[in-house]
Amino acid sequence: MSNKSKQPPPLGEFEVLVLTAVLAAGTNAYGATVQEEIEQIVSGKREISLGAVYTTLDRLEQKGYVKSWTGEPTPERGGRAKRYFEVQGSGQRALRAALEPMQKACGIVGVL
Amino acid sequence: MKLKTRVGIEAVSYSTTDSVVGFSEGTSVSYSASGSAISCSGGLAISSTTDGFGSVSISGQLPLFEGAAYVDEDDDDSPPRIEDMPTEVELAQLNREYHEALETISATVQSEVDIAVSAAKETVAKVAAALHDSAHSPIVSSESVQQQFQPPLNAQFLLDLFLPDAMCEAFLGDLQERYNKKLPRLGKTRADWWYRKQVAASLWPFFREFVGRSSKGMFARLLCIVLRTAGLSTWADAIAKAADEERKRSA
Repeated sequence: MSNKSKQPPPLGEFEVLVLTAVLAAGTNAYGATVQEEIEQIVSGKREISLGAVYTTLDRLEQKGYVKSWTGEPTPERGGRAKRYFEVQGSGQRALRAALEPMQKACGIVGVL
Repeated sequence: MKLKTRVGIEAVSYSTTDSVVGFSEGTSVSYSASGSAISCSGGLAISSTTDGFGSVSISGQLPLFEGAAYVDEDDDDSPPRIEDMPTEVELAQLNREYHEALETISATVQSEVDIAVSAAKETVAKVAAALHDSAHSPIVSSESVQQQFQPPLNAQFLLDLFLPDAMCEAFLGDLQERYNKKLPRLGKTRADWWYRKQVAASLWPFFREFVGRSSKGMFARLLCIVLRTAGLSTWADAIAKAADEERKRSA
C-alpha cells in the first residue's frame, strides 16, 4: 500500500504528449511553442486546441510534474506576458514510467 | 422593291448607364449610310474603381451590322423623274418596311451590345477582384500586419468569461502570437477563422476545468443555503465546516 502511494499518478495520453512537448521545447517552453511541438509530434493527424494544452499544463502543475513562471511581455503578443513551463524531476519519472510499456510494446512489434 | 428617293439614315446613338456599384459604362451605337449600304458600329467603354486600390477600363469597337438599306438604280444625283416616283401607297409601304427594318436592326444591335457589356463586366469584375486580393495579400511586412490587424475581439470576450486572469493573459498572448505568425501565410480571413476555431475548441476544456474545480465548493454552498432556508441551520453549519476543512486539506 505504501509502495503504491509513492508511485506517481499515471499519465494520460495527452499528458504524455504535453510533457514530451515541454521537454522538446526546452528553455523556450510556453503555450504557443508547446502547441507547435505537439502539432509536430502528431504530424497534423489530430487537431490540438491551445485550451486543451493549457488545462493539461495546469493539471500537470497541480500534480507537481511541471512548474511555471511568468515571463516578459512582448509586442507581438499584444503586450501580454508569457507563462513558461519546465518539467520537474517527478514529471520526468512519470513520463518515463508512462513510456516504458510503450517502448516494450514497440520492441515486440519490431520483433514481429 | 425599288426606292427612288434617297434615304438618309442619321447616326443614332444610345448610351446606357448601370447602377451596379463600382461600375460605370457607356455604350454608343451609330448607324451610317453611304452609297447603297448601311453600316452600324457600336462603341463600348466600361470603367471600374475598386475600393480605391485601382481602376480598370475596357473600351472597344464592335462591328454590329452591315447590309443594304436601299437600292438606287440610277445611282446618281439627278432628281428622280415623276413617273419613277412611288405612289402614296408604295411610299407608305416603303416607310413601314423601313421602320420595321430599323427596329430589327436596333434589337440586334442592342442584343449584341448587351452580350458585349455582360462579357466586359465579367472581365472587369475578375480584374477588380484580382486587384482587391492583391491589395489585401500579405506582401506587407509582418510588423505592419500586426499594426493593422487584430484578432476577433468577440472571441477574446468569450475567453474572459471562463479563464482566471493570470491564465487568460498568457493564453490570449499565445493565441495572438500564433495568429500573427499565421497572418502573412493565410491572410486575414483564414487567420481569423483559425483564431475563432481555436477559441471554440478551447472553451470546452476551460469550462470543464472551471466546473470541476468549483463543483465541490459550489455544491456545498448551495446545500447550506437550502438547509438554512429550510430552518436547518445546525446541519448547514456542519456542512459548511466540513467543506471548509476539505478546502484547506486540498490546498
